Amino acid sequence: MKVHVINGPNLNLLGTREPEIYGHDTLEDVANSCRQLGENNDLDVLFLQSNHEGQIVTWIQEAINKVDAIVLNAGAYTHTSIAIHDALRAYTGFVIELHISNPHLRESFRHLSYVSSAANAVIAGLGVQGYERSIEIIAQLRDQTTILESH
Amino acid sequence: MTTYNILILNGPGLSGSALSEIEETCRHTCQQSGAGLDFRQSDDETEITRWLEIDAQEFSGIIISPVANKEAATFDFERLQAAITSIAHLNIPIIEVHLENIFLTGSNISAPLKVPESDAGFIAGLGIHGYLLAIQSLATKINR
Repeated sequence: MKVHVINGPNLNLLGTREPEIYGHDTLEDVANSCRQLGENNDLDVLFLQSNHEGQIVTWIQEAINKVDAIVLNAGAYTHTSIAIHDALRAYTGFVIELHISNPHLRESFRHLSYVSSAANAVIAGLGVQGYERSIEIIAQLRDQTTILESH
Repeated sequence: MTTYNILILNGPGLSGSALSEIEETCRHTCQQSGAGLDFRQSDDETEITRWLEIDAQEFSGIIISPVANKEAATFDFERLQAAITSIAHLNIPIIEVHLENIFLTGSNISAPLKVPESDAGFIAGLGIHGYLLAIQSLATKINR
């Protein structure tokens, strides 16, 4: 079973950008934990990051019929990108929208998400452990085969 | 392992066998995490806010499932937000859980709780797994 973890703009700066909000772990640290968890749970995890909206759209399109689940932290494109929303609507696998902090507790311009209404689930404000939890939950859902087929 | 207690509050509309199943699964997960569990439900928001204001300080972490979708129209989210704000100084980790993705068309729940001081986590759309995820996440936050 394939899982793509897709990260949007500025997440390459994780660990150095506003660590009081986002923590000290780097994206490579997070990627390594996710890959390890994938191995432990028999999931094929691919970890991606781009600062470019179009690249994220392309990755979602390429996942159609090939990837079973996407964990998407679209960064600030969450609040602006109808193109990402549309790509997610075309994708029929399971989608978890992920945020390290809780956008609804921050500036009002972060309260609208174009991702949420095209995702199955939303996880926010758990810190970087949200990534690992997302991988674990996908493994659990696969084992129960209840929710993963509903999208 | 550190032992600590967590409080799970369920609001209106969550009851019956569905709630019993959630409670049983949460108890199992808490036992595995070495956590004590106080699992409560009420349809009365006065009671829920009182639990938060008076009892919350006895717990290391709190999970709130504010309301079932169909009950949302009459639920006073602002009052719940005020209660959470009033205990923000206690710095108890809080995670808001919804069984369904409240952002999908057709949901009666318009928005997550907005308590900027709370640093609360948010989980929606994972069904009963959302509770388990919240329990595990609290364990990480508390043992950090």
